[in-house]
Amino acid sequence: MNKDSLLALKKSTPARIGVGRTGTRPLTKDFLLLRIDHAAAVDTVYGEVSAKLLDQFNLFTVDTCFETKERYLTRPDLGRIFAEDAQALILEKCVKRPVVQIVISDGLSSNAIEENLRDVYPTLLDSLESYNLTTGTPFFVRGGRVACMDVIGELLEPEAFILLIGERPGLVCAHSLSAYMCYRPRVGTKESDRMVISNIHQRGTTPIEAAAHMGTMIHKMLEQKTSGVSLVI
Amino acid sequence: MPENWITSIGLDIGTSTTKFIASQLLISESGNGFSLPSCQIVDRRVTYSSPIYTTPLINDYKIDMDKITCILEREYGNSQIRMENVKAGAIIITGEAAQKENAQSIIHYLADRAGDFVVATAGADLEGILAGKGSGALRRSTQVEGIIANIDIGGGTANVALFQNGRAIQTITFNVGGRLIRLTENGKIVYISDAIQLWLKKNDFYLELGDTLTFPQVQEICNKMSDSMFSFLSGCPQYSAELLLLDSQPTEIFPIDEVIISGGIGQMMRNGPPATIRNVTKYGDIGPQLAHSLNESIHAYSFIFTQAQETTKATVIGAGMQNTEVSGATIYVNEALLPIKNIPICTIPVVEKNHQWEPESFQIRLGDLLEQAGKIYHAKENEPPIALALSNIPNCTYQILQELSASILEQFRNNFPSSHCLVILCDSDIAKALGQAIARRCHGTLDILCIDQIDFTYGDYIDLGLPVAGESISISVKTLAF
Repeated sequence: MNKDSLLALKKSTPARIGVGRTGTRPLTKDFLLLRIDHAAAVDTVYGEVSAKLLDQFNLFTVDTCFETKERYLTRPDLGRIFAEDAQALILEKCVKRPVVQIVISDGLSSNAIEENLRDVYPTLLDSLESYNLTTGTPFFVRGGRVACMDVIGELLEPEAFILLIGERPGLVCAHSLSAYMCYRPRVGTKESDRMVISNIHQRGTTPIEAAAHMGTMIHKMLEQKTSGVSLVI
Repeated sequence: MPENWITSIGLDIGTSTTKFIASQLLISESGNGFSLPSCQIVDRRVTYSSPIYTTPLINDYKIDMDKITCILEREYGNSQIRMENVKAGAIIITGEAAQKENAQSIIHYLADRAGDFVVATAGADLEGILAGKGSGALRRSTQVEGIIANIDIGGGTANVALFQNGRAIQTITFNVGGRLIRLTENGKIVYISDAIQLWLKKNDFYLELGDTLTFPQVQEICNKMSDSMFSFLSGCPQYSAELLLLDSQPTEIFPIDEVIISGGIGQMMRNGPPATIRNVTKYGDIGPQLAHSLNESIHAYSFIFTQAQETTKATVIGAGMQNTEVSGATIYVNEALLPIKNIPICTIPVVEKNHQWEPESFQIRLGDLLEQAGKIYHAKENEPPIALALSNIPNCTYQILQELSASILEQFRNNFPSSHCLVILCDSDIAKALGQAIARRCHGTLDILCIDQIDFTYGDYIDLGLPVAGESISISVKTLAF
């Protein structure tokens, strides 16, 4: 294989291809790069979303029952439920029965929120507005898992739900965001009723275009009163 | 995954021959359920191919419109497709035929008789690109390194299109073709195209109507013609090659690695050499000798010569199968406004080369562009005056999106105050976000159509068709419109 072809292939993927070796080991610079990327992945799992960002978008914070990051990793079920005082806080602060409820959660990547929220969130609000859809009171869930939307749905009874949550980091990208959407999520909602746009970051699914499309999807969910596999797109 | 087939036709009216094909395009939504939806043409099949007709002429210059219409009607019948089912396709008038006095009226006339979604067009650039798509040159360029030149040589012109990595990067047209000089079977000259008179004189060929050419004389003319063209393409023009260029053409061209020759002359190159003047003039012109001269002379140059998958029918296959594309699947359109035809494309890079996003600079450059455009294009009521094509879009943040949409709206209103419809084309996946952002700013005073994932590099006009799958619409980009 000639050099130009290899460079073209390398350019086509962020994967570690054609990195070379010395003996049976990778080159020092590539090995260091791998360590750096691994460290970034660990950091984003253990990291915190800054108060400044949450303030900028007027998001108050509610914790799930995860307690510590170690427990969060070993007990996914705790990331789906809220203690009584957390439930009371949600009920106290939020508008009940909104058309669209937006919740943001760090999930497995605090950097996903840091990197993408400034583009995704305002574009999403504009998109919903263009479909004349009103939103409830948005907030931030620390230590959340996808199905935390079911408990919040039970409490606030929204028509449609959007959860922007950090994805499990990889060695290529540690700040990728997912948007999970569901029509009337309640405790016991099936996974097949949820919809997702994943891999949202500047080098993946374009954040603003993903957000603009979320508006269209929510509009269709409300029109057809369903979501997931039974929604006709 | 949902999929649907659409019917497309192609009609190629060349200087010497006319062909028709019908094809089916398979459009498939290929989103995986976890990403944004996407939509593309995944298969193109020729379902019917007509015999090759001699282009009917009334005299040397005028195409016989009635007979062309008969051919079209007969071929619609033979192919067993109904005009109202045809959702895409192209009629293209090529070569010398396009320069003949009535090309424009023919295209207009035929467009009305071919189906609502058939593009009617003429022009050497598009023809060269379509031929390269039909001959397999474009596909070849995705498989090998380097630049592939497709030379489509018919009766009147040689249309050269250069491809690299699956994209057309340059087009050049020569007045090189089999019917530029027509001879009786004994070699008596009955026609010499005006387009090559200067070149002939410069090379000391003083030909008059009624003169009789000997076999060696025809050989010499054709050898010089081949060498002129190939030497120009190799970057060292000889024999006043520039006199064979059509209109204004680039003087510098990209270095070519591989050559594919299609068209009627490309087909004849597969035959053996003519041995007598009678062999040469079997079609009443110099075509067979030109084909042989090209065969001989190409070996003197460093290009690799590759066989075309399609020769005679390359252009019509390109027109029928490759002219239609589909847009991105997340776009901003109002279906009620579709289809819209013949929108002139005005291109602007959002960021200049080696620059960051600079809102003031963009605003100024956009203002200049739209001011110029406003002097040339005047839209009819409720039609878009132009399609604003945004190239070189940076990673688009919410802030850039807002500044971009504000600039576009302001400058469009300034320069097209009476227009109610704004069409925007984007080369990256931001159309829905941008469309929503502009629509939000204009509060319903403008109809906004914002479409993405279109290669508009080689086009002057765009037709926006109907939705074909999901939100995606069919589009065709072309070089001339009537």
